[in-house]
Amino acid sequence: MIAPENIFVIIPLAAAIVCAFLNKKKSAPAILANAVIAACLLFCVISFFERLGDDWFYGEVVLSSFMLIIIYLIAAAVAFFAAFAATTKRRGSYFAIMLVITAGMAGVVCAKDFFTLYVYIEVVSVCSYALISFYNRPKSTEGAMRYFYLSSIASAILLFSISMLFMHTGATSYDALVQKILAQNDGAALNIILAVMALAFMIKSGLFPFHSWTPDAYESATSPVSALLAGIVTKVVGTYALVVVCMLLSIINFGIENNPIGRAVMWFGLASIIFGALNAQEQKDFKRMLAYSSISQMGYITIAAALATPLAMAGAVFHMFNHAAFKSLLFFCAGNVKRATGSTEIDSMSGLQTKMPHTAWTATIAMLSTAGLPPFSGFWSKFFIIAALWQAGFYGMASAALFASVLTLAYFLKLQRGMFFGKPSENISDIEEKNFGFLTPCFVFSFIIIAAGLYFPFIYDNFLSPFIRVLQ
Amino acid sequence: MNSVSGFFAYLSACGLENLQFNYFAAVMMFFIGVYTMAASRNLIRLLIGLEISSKGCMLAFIAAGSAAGNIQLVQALLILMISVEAVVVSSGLILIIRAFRQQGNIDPTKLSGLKG
Repeated sequence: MIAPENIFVIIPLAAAIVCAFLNKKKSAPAILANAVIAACLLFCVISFFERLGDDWFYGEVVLSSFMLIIIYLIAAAVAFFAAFAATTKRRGSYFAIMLVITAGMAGVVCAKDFFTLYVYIEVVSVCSYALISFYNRPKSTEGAMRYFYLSSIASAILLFSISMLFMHTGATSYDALVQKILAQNDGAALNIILAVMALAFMIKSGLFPFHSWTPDAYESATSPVSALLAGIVTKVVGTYALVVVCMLLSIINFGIENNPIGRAVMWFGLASIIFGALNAQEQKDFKRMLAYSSISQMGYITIAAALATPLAMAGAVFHMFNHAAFKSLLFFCAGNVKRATGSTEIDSMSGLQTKMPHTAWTATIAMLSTAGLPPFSGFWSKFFIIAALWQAGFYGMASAALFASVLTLAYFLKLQRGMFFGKPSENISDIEEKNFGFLTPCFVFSFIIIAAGLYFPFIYDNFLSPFIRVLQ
Repeated sequence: MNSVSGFFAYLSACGLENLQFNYFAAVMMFFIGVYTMAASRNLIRLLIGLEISSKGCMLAFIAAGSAAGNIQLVQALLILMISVEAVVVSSGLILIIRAFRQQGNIDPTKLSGLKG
């Protein structure tokens, strides 16, 4: 009997093996990858709603089921976009790697054991290097190289902390750790182990002092790959794992009162919120600005996860979902602009909305949602995070997070004004947007952002309240 | 020589001679790798430093397994770890070869296509 989660790992892997032999075909690999990922998305949404009322369906289990839905949603959109955007002759290999990375991410969120987590994280990382440097351009080789070295250091640190955990508990599973916590013999050692682990995951998710690979990798990759990386890969291998570690930390220390490691992680989160927002102001390239914006939004998720009150956890998980939606949408828009004009330099063009109206309005929705304006879904998660910080007594951090949200609005309005609105420049007179395939993912994500913002009570009842039930 | 034997005598007096020495060696190996990465200006040497660090992690796993009395599980994990390492190292070497073919050098400070 196979457990239901294993299916989401095995099916894409099997499809990847088939896909790898279809290099000679033109459209077969894309159709196969899209069909498999869409079927898995449908299946995991159905199984989520089937299990919703069950007694054991809370906390950790809901988190991994919810993450599975996000992973397959983004992967489906990216595979659809890549079916039109990929210009390579080796389409079989391209879609095979995309299927393997999806299977790896599903494995990360289904893992119940730190060693399994490590193995799947390595699978995802190796596939990311391959996807970033797929087109054999000097820039992308270098971006992949920087990602390779920093990510490998993080993996070594993670492995070392797992060995410490093994020495301390005699096993590597989450269950063994929780048993050890319940047996209550040594909080200090577990705190140190989880601190080292949190360091590794902070490097993987690209938080402030360890951010240097993020802009390079996102800028040098092609647009579907950047959407996949920023939308879901760094979130799964870095932030999801950090959320798990922070949950364990808060269980060890019984809340926030004496949780030194949690506090330290919160400061890292705050630093990257402010650093990302300030650095995004001065970027000249659309995708680089999005990368710094990603660093800033990752800081919001981290600060809430490290606080670990029920409200903050709900905010962190919902912000993960929102960030996946709006950042992928923005990278798709960047891909559309790049395809139409051949460049993503902000200063080199203006008035794009006269020629590319759909790209312009979907990008505006995503930007306003990132900044946290009320009708959109980004408002609710930022509201949760800031309210949780205020409730727990971190008034300074709450004010700083609110202020950084205004900075987010500032740099995105600058981008919007410079690139999409304003007087059309001469060099864009002969461009047009016509391809249905490039715009469909943008429409879908705009719909999700608006719908999740307007029908927030539905999201709260079905996704967030079962998750936080155990924490209350 | 005296101080070394004194150190061992101290460890065995603690009753933890194997664990402490093994884990100490693993940590030393990890930091030798980190030092190699910090001190070299050649992508191949960086990769060698990374490998030394990873091998330090493997030694740490063995030490932890023998201390926890579960060496069988550690053997299984190590075989998996070695195969994962092989994949990671080969992908890193592919990237280095590409960088050399495209730019003609493997000095990380001279790779400057991305700035800002």
